[in-house]
Amino acid sequence: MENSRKWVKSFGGMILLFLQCLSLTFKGKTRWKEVIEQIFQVGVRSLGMTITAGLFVGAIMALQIDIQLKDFGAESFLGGLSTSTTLRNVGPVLIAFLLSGKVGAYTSAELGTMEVTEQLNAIKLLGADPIEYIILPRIWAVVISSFLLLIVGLMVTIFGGVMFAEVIGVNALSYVENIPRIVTEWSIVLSVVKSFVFGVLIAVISCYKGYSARGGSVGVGAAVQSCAVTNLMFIILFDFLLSMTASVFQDLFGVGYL
Amino acid sequence: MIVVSKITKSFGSRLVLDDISFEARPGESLFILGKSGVGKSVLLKLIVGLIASDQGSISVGGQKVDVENPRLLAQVRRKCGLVFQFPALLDSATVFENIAFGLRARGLVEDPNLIEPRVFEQMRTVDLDTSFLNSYPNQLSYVAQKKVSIARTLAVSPDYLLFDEPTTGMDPVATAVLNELLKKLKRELNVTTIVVSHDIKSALACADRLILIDHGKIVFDGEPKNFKSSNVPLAIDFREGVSLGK
Amino acid sequence: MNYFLKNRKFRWRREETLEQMYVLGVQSIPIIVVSLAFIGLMMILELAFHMRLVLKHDSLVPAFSAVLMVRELGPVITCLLLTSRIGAGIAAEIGSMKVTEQLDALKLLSIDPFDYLVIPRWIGSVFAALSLTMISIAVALGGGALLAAQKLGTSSGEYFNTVFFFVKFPDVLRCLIKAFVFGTIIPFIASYQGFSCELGSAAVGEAATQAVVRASLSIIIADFLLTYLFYAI
Repeated sequence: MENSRKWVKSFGGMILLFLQCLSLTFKGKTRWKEVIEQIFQVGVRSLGMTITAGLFVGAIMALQIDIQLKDFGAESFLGGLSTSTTLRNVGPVLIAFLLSGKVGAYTSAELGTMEVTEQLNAIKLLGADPIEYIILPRIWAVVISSFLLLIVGLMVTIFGGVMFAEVIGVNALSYVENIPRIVTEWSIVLSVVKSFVFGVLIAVISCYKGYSARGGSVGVGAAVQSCAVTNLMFIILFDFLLSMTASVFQDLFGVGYL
Repeated sequence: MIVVSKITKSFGSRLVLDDISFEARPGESLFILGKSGVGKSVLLKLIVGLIASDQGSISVGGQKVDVENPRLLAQVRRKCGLVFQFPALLDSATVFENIAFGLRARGLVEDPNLIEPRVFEQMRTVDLDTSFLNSYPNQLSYVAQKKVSIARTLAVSPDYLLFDEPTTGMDPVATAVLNELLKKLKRELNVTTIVVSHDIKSALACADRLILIDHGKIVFDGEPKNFKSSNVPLAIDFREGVSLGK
Repeated sequence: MNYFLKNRKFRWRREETLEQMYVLGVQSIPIIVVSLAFIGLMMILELAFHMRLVLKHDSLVPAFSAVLMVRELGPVITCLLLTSRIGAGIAAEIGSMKVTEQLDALKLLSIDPFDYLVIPRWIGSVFAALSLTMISIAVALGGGALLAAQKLGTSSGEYFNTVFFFVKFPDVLRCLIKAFVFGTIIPFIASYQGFSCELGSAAVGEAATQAVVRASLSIIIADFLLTYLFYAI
């Protein structure tokens, strides 16, 4: 009971924080120069990890799909099928998982530290709004950089798949040629939409969890932990919801099929 | 004038402040003493509206502190400066930016060129080496960070200055500088100061008035010379601590 | 083995270990079950889409999704969730112990922090990884069966028939080995980050963050290596 009340409270808090940031943005309060600086920092810090993850995710899916297609005797579809599965669901989810650790947990730890060392209170007392001054630029920076990193990561997964196909003796050229046969523009739209939504989720959840951290270094640790778990759960939930929406669209309008 | 009347505050089942009333008169330097963890810091946060009280009311310069009303609260905060117990400096900003933060956020200085002299002035006031100007807080010693924190608060020239344990963790030299600073503020600027502390030496040296809090209640309220002859048990303990320290 | 244990003065800390099994394993059940149920549903949706695209029919969806679940997504996603659930926690806990000098206090009491802190967490984490992987695969397959009946018109009898036909016993064994390896990676990386935490409250957050990131990335790399080892050689 206590737990579910906490959940509702923090869920409401996240929505409020997001709405507040949106309204501040529409009032033109975002300092874009700082946003760009932050994007640069986040991006540089996380690019290596994203690329590594992308390569391995691409390779894992190529390998896994290859084994399974062999079982069912449909190897000729390898390139398209593994690329499509990676782009549409496994890729965004796994890369977003890692980003929620790298970008999200970092943001919540940073904001949590600012909160428990009273930096945010000091800003309030000196006459500025910590949401406008600290959180707003960070939210946009995390949204944009997570989105861009996810897109980069997804492109790298394709590359990882191709490289690995060559390793297991599938001709790289036929692998690549097979991709456009199955990956439609709607699949790409879906994966871009997922990337954007995951970026927003990571940003809002991490900022909220950091902002609501209390109680010294233990509190910061707890905020990071709770941020990581909440991020992952929401990523999975929204992944399902978006796939569901896509599936309804496909059934209704036949979009996405050849 | 800060008027605190009938304030009660508890965290969970723990009653921290129990029906506390006092006032800080204009130009007065008021020390609030008590053992660690009796809710002295909570009192300061209540005054600037960082937390809400359970019961009672506080007014600063005739204006009620109302946590629910952001606009009025902002007006109250403009008159106050609070120096936190720990430095609470912005990690990502230099010493200069930290001290200039309040000046910019409150729009106190019209001409951007005037910010730098103001910052230098404050650094001299707290006896801080000006070569730190472009350093980041984590490159500074704790004492220097705390001085920056005080300079940052002084820079916005508040009418009411609140200090939370200013001398905790400070070396004797820095403590002496701070004590001098408190006297000077009172003498020259007629600033009302409330200092929360357990440093009885500073209190006896600088205070116009002392308030002693124990178990959420005020057990002593009076001038330092009366404190020296008071027979309230905690006051005796605090004095004994001094004599033992000597 | 016995000699090794004696020499290291290893002590089986029953209380600690049981507590860690509870904290790391049992308390993670709700989060992981809910998440993996959604993953199961999502797999059915996505594979239905792909199978219709490739094979023009969707009778193989249950088999394909179950195999992918058991071999790949079940252990990986469960353990990634487990990482964020317990990795940050372990690093933050040990990190704060270091910052508040509790680790030094343990050493002064001649208690080896490694025995006292890491071994119980390792056992707890491996226990959690193994049992939660099994539970979550069961839940994901159950969710899949429901959605398959709804969307593909496969009755749950047919669904589980195909699943048990295509998922072989070695697959389950390999899945458990994966879970064991991942369950080992998490506490060791997390406690390493905790032990090497610097002083200050910012450092604890940093340690927790690093623990999640490094453990997750290691899990993905280990998964690739294990899959390659199991199926491609």
